Amino acid sequence: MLTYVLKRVLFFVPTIFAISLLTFILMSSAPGDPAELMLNRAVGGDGGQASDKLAGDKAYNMLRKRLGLDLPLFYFSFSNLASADSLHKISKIDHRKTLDRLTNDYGNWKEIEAYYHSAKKLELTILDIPKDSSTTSALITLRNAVNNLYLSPNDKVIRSSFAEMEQQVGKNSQLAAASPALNATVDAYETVRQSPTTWKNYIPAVHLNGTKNQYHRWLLGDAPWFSASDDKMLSKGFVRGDFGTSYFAKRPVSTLVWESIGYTMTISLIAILITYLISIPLGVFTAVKKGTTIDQTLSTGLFVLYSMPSFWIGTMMIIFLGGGDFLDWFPPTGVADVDADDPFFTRLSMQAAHLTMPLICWTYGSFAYLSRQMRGGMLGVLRQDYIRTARSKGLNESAVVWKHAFRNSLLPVITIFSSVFPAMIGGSVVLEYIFTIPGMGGLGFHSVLRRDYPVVLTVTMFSTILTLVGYLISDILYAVVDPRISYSKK
Amino acid sequence: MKNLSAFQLMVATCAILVIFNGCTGGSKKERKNEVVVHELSDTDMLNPVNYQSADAGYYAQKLFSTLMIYDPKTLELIPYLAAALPTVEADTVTKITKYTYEIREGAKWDNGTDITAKDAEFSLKVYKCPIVNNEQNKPYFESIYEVITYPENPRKFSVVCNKIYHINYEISGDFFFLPAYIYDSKGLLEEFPLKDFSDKYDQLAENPKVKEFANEFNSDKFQREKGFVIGSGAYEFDSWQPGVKLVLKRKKDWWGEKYKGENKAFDINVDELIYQTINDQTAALVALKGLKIDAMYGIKAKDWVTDVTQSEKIKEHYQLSTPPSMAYTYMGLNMRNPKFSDKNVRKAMAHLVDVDKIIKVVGYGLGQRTVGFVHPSKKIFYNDTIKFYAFDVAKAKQLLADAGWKDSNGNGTIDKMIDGQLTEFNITFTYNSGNDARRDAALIFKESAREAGINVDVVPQEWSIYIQNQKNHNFEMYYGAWISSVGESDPKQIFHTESINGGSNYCYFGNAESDAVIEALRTELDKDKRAAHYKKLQAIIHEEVPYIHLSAPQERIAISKRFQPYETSPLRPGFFEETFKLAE
Repeated sequence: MLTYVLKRVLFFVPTIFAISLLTFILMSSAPGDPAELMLNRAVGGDGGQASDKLAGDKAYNMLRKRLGLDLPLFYFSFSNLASADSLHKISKIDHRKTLDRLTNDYGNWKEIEAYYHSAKKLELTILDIPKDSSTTSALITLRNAVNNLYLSPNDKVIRSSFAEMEQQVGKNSQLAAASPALNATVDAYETVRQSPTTWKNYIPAVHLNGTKNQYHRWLLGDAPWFSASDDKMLSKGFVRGDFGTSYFAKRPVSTLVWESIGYTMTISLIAILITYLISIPLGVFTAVKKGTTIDQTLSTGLFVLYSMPSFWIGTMMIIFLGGGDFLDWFPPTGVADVDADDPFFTRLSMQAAHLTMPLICWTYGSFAYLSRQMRGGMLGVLRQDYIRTARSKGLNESAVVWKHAFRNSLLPVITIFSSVFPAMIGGSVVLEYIFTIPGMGGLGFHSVLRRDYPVVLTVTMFSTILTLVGYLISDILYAVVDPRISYSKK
Repeated sequence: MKNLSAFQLMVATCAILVIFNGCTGGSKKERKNEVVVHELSDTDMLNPVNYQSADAGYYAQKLFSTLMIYDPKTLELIPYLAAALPTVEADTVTKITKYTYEIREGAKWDNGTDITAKDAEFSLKVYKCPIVNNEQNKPYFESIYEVITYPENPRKFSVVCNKIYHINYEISGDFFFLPAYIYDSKGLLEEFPLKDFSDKYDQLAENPKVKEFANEFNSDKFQREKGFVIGSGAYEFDSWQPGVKLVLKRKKDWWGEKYKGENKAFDINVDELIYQTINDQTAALVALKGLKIDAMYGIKAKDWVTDVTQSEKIKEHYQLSTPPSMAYTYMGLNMRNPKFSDKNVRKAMAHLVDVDKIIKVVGYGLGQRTVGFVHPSKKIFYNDTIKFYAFDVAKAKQLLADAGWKDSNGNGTIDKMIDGQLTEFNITFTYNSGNDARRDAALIFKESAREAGINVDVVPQEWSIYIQNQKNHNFEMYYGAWISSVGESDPKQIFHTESINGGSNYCYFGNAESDAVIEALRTELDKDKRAAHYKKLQAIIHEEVPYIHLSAPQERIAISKRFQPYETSPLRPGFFEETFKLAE
């Protein structure tokens, strides 16, 4: 048994690794840029504050660097010979897209990079030309034309932008300063056009990025392992217990999770306890009374409950029992604002009052499912010969049911039990929102919307680990409940 | 009998819950001189420099003080920590502007020391300090270069800006004063003069002392720990249960008491400010009806019209008001899109939007139609001579026909040859998913556009994608909104051609004329002359139609009648709970 457990635990490592990698890749390839979102303040709001929009390239680049988003994604990248090895260094996503498409068209990254840098230089030169009444409108045209270069890989657009710029520069002597930079850009573009190495697009290649990549930084960290480092910009990595800093809250993810997990775990544990305490006896009871009116009534009732969405019931309870226009039985929020110096029982009673409605919503739906499973398991067992034997021995009914049948009928329930562990920290987005419970569901949900990668990764990793643990425990429980199941080699 | 015992336990649990509820239901606390304000979500932090959420800014105003604040009624700047509004000296040749302030006599930190010019300098250093997590507002302070102190008067100082910029007047007095003895107890920033934070920014970013300061300043401690969130405001941070409630308590001997009555900044009447988070609007309204909340803002327009203003209970216990809010909504048109490159086509679009219907149906009448980016309540800057584009499908059709858009192939949709290709007038209209009001507005437009032979495809986009598409000019038409500051806005970020790449000029608006007006406006220090520039810019924008301006929405506020009648303000969030006075 012990070897079995050890073996299973060892298998955790590659599984967790694979899942972390998958999550990481999925998340980074999702559209949306966390740095942009952070500079924009509002998420899901109606608009940004105009004054914040001043944030220019400088702030954006600084932010990306601080978040480690300027690093390549992984230790290596599969691509083709033509693809850019330093593309990730270009911070603007839209510029990156254009360059990527140019690379697809021409296959010569070195030349394309040179072209990009000459365009940047051209932009700076244009910005340096003093503005006066004779140059203003020409400068606008120039700036727009340069912007087109950044945004379009289309030959026609690029050429017409060049033509436009050349026309402006030729017309106005004050713009002559831009002429060398413009010529250089045009030349660089011609070089790109004339030395295409499109064949490179068809030859696969592996780019090695070394340990300076986002995944490494997140998993293992870039802080030294064996000596202390004071530099707080360095990450220690997930395996060393450093879950990173939330982009949005700018606080350690561990603190955020710690703050939310208390609420979620308390509610989940109580909810799970109530569910099991009610559903299992109910399942056994209905199995024993199979076919009677009471069985049918209970089953119908449970299915009605099961089919009612909890967010609707939650809202209805708040409206009718939360002290608005109707009954004032329970407070409309899920967490009591207790003062730490109140006596214990006051705090407990306040908390209980707040938790009643959420707990009802959390539990009622699972009664039907769990008790059905229990009922099914029980029915299967009650038909067995040894139950008939027990009855014919003259044992009373409750001894037959609870001593002989119950334990054997638990297997399906144990299978469900494995999901308890991830559920404990998973929370429920909708119910937490309705009852204002600052738990894990909301934390995870908002982090996804805000592209708060460190939080998303941590939450995902925790539920991964707990799911694995849950499966292991249910496998062990099988053996405990049913002696016929054994994991040691005979 | 084992099954019975399980049932017994269950019954016992229920009984306990019911008994506990009995306890709480009966005991209603006597209300103190406190205000419970509803918040839809928890704030992010109480660090007055690094915060991101809007409500954190409101709390900072109670905990910390700035040199000037806006008067909620007149919307004019009034002196708060400063004894008077600053004197301005501008050198038109060197472009150096000096704003000279004197701090009020008797203004003190909590430890009893005077607030001096040194504190102004330290606070500005923090705002401009590398590695400090305030990327979102650093550029705002970019033009502040130096603080000049005067040995003969430690309370007097001048904020020096190295260019002429009309908003500098506001910026020079719009930063929170931070006590160095708390935020930099080791004196790490002392040796660096303020100008180094502009001139030697990259060098300072590598300096170990600056690094140590910034990392410390960014830490959790200064975001939310009692004893580390300390300012010179009238309130102190008392407690915070994240996601549940935040409590601020009035200071016992606040230095500002002696100025009470002088202006709105010193009108403090409430002992305790409690911010209660309730995420769900329905639950919040239930709490409002249960009299568990004293003040609520941002009530959804629909709930306001169908529930709040109809409920006898609410009308009995709350004063309701709908002050204008400093924001405007618009539909943005991509001027580089071949379909919209003709001004007349854009004007036709404007004629196809039934703005009044949108305000009435989608906004439940809680909005005021606007002509441009200036809020109508800022009367001196608002151009009231501009006429709205009337909703007129016939006129739109005419304009489109003049621009060459005709249904040549008889398929019901107008078309035109563009670059040798027959282009049908199909447009994609984007809005951020989940915002049903925007969707409904778009659908109203879609209907009238159809009458003119235009197909509008209304597409929701997830928020981060929606804003990214705007930044990349990757849209045809979208529904947008801007929140503007109470003070004067700087139209450069949205309407200057330099803001096309990197700024917020998503629609490619602008020409030499509009740029010149914006630049003149930014460097004009005379308010009346500036007003003329604002009006001219509104006229140009109205003529060019990068935006179809819709409305300035109204805020929806309920305030308990436990307090004396209160006049709400266009200043966000619409009321200042610390100034509430208990009714007799």
